[in-house]
Amino acid sequence: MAEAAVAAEVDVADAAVRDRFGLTWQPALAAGILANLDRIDVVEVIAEEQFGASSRATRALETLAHQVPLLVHGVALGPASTSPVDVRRLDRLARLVERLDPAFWSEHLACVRAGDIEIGHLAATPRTSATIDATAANLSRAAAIVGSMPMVENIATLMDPPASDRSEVEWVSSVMTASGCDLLLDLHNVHANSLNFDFDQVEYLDRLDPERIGAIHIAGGCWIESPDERRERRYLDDHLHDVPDPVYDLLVEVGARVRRPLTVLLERDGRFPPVRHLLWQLDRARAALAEGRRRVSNET
Amino acid sequence: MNPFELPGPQFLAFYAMLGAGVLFAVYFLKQRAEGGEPIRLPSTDPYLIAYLRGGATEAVRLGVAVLVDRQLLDFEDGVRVVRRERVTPTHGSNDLERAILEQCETATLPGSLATNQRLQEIARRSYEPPLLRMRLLADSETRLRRVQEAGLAIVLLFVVAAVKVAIGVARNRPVSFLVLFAFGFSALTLFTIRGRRTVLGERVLGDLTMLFDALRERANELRPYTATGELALLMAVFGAGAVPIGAFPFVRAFRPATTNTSSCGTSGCGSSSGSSCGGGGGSSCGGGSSCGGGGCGGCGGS
Amino acid sequence: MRPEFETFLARLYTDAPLRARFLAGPREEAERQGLTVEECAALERIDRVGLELSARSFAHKRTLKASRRARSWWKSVRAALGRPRH
Repeated sequence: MAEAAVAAEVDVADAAVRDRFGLTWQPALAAGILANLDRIDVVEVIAEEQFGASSRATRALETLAHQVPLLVHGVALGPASTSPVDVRRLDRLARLVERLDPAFWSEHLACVRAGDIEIGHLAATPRTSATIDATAANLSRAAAIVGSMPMVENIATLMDPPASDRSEVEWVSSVMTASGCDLLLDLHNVHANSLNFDFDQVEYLDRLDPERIGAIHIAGGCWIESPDERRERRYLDDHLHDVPDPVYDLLVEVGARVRRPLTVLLERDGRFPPVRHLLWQLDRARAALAEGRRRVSNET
Repeated sequence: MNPFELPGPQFLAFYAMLGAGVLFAVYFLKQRAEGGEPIRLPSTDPYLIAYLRGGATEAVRLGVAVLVDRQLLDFEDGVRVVRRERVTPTHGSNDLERAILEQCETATLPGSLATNQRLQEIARRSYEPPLLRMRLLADSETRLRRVQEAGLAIVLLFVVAAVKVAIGVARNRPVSFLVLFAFGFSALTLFTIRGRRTVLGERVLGDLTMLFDALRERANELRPYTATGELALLMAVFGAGAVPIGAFPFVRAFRPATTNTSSCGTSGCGSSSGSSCGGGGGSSCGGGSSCGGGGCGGCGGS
Repeated sequence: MRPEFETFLARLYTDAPLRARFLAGPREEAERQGLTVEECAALERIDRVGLELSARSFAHKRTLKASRRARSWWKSVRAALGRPRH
């Protein structure tokens, strides 16, 4: 067998062995998570949930970190903005990262505030060269204070941001290049945006540098209707539903493209089914990623 | 300046500071010797947690509850437990459960099972060694160290008090407050070293309490025979008082007589949270817990 | 992109009366807010359905966060008042 083919097969096998699968931390799932650590490799905690927590609560997470590796995921920094990110938030993030010592921390490529206005959640920023530069600057600022580069996550949006002069995948790729951050690829967000704004999901994957994809989110959503007489439907990434089949299909495609080990996280924020059902979804994710990796191995 | 020459009230103030200092020293030495970084538990075995929290009695109580919920024991007449037909001791998942099943060949009061010496010994043999190895329970060396440190502290307190009492008696001065102080600080010193758990054990148990807090909040949602694992963790971490009597009537047998026996348990009904948000909100209602839980929330709800 | 444009977008998401005025006359409202010609033109072409759905979504999130903060505070008070220990 040619050297390159052997190397590729070893890479694939090695990555498959080191792929990790986990859930986002939810207190309602604590018992189920802790009782099934043989099937959960990693747990992701939401950073902002810990900012207001008591020191006892954070200390409890340190104990949790000794039972299962933790990751820290921010949802309110809002680096995709022309305004500099809040240094106080970065300080708190830095302290949390220091206490929990995650393998990596991550944030969303989103705007969550402007001026003194709190939007309330993750808003898509207009996709322009100015916002690429501003986002990269914010990410650089964040890395300097927290002490490590974050992975950045593509977001789902119900509105195509105005004044954009490029596609979402072009913008995301440009931010990654400008900032040096790797990508936490949210496949359900890709799926949701492709349904809402009509682009090809696999082409989206093809336009990303596969070696810059470090982690994956999978989740579920549902269709919602506009309140006016048009009743136009958009697909909402709400994290309250099971992962749909197309997302597993995308995960197969990721497995066929990405050689490095991946961390795959199932996000579920409410309407919790029994934990065994969540673990079954995680097993489906394992199978999907493995199928993609096998495809590469067979082709070489 | 010789503190023994201080007038009464000033000497009491000095003695109070000495007592506080001694208490702090004993506390600090205990923290340093028994604390440490969090450890990796070999598993979240509810029996291990129950033993850590309440010793052999709690482990046995948990075993009875688990076996009733797994329908291996019948809660007969709402008073006694007995092995069901065709159930044998081999149906138990561990030595303790098997021993309980053996003991329940005939109808038995749950309370008497909890204090049964043989069952307690099996619980001790099964769960104490790993907890000692993990330094979560105080071993004989730790207890000896505590006694030595507290002993030295108490000796110091009494010697200082005795000298001043002698001076006071000789000068016909009142000494009762000083004697009270001496006994009081000595009692507090003994209180500081009490406890079967080490500092690390207290921390781990406290952390488990925090991590499982949402489970306690939604205890009323647990249903019998369907989620034995969660019932076991709930009872292991929080005790029988957290288990709703309405759904699990047999726990009444394990509650102290003065406990509030409402169906919400001693910890109150708490707020309903964690299992359902409604709407497309995208964030968990479990976020009220101080251990986080709002989630990334996706794009949000309409 | 100017910060003013970003701020105006944030206001559209969070200020229902402003959003209603904007949807009734996007260019006029954008000009009234002092945005540039290019910015006004871009806003005239805005995804209206997406804007409305996003605004509702964000409002829901803000409400959820506020209620979560209130629950957390109440929980702390209850804990301080004496949750039973082991």
